[in-house]
Amino acid sequence: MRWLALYLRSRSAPAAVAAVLGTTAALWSLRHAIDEPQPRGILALLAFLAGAAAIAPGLAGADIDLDRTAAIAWPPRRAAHVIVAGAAVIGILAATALTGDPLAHAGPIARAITGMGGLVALGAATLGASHAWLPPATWTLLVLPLTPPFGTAPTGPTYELMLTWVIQPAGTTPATVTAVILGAAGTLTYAVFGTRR
Amino acid sequence: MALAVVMGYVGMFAVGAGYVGPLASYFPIGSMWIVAVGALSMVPAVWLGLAIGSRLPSALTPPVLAIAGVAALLVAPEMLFHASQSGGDPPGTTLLLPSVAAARTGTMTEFLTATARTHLTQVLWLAALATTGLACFTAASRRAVVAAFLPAVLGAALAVLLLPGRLSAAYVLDQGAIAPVCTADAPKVCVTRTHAAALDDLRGPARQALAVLSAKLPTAPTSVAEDYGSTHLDVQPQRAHTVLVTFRVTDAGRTADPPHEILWDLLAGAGTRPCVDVNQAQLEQLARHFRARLVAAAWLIGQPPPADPDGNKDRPADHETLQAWETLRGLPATEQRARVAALRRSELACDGRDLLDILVGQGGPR
Repeated sequence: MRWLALYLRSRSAPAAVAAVLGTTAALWSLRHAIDEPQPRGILALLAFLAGAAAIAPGLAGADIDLDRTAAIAWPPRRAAHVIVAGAAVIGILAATALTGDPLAHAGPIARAITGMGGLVALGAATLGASHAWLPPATWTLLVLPLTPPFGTAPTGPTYELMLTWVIQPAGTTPATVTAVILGAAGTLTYAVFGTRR
Repeated sequence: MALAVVMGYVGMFAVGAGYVGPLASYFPIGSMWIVAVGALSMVPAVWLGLAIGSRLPSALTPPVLAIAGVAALLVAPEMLFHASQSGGDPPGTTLLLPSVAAARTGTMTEFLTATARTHLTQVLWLAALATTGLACFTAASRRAVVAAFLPAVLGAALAVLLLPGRLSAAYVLDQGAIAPVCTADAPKVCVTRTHAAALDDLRGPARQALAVLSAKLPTAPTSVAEDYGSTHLDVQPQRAHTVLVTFRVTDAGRTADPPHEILWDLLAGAGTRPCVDVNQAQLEQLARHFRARLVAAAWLIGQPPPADPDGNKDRPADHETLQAWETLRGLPATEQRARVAALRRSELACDGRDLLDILVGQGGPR
């Protein structure tokens, strides 16, 4: 238990949890104050993005080389880190249901964090932990201006639905598939290669 | 770094201009001020970001800042839009926000341009913000950080004093943009210079409308012109000899609707602009007003009224509209003509009478 606490502290987990709680609370209250569905949908999406981005800094320790000298099997631990962190973010975001005005149902939250978390893990492996939030943020912000009114049925060919998976309504199979692929690819890549030095 | 971001802004503008340029019929050099102020706005953005990042050196700062920025940019205009939908005109201080809020609130049209005072105030405010950002970034002591906020506070105070009370007052009609472009031959059909490409599309339905009006009404108008008035700057006077029309244009500058739909728009209210305060009138009053205008157009065209003057022209109209049309057609021919002419007179004079009553009720022509 003491090792786990030390590990979490070394990866600045308390700051990340505080950041998720803070951004979720702030975006939730903004969203709660607005009636129109379009900004409400965008604010929920931004809350997901903030949750996923908060995972990024913890994907590297203070000294990557020092970490790697430890004679332990890193890959399963890295995979566990990403999965547990994602689950924690999903839990916090889904906990907004307790207020009676949830950001979204658990399904869409899980899909968003699976995909965005996977992108963060991919980003950590390719760009480094401090820049790992850029891939999901870039993808989401590029797609946002194309957003159709939230809640409209998905239209367009499959590849379009996959490219715009973040804004598709719940239950859109191509979007779910994309999120799962990104999540699996990100977790695997990060587990095998770790953070970029 | 600020320079790089400004170059990025200018680059985006250049790409956009490359798309729009070949289609544009009007390019005032003064509009470059708007681009210049926009490019300048990148400098305080970068320097403020540097300042915040240097004060809060955490890996979490950049994403949280980015998300907060997007949330503020997307939500602020929505809130303003909400405020203006209930009939309000957002306050002038809206211009301190880094978003094109006016364009979203419906206050802004392609015929308006910002006043010199608006530009100067925005430049002042952005310069103050940039100064604060740079001073905060380079500040060595706690006292220097506090002092760094001084320019922003001063700039905000000055800007609030200089900006107009209402957003609509920050814009003026661009005389070059509304300059008429007309057909060479009579009857004259004019569009604004901004929409010059739509003249060919408007000519047909416009002349058809004038022909119908002169065939069926005693004192018919003789020309058609584009209406450039907007919600808050309804400045174009309506004259009896000119039919004013608003039309939507496509990205290529042509009219967006087919000719027969433009004809219905031209003949609505027997070729008049609706004189009703959309924000003040009751819903029922509005419905009666536009129903009467639609029936007048149907009488002139000689076809049953379509469902919705702005919507699908193929669906039948609602029961009340059809009933009013039938009632009008049941009257003696001279009475029909007199009543439509009276409706036209009333709408031109803006005398606030109930149009449906004039058309089919007890009111009749007076």
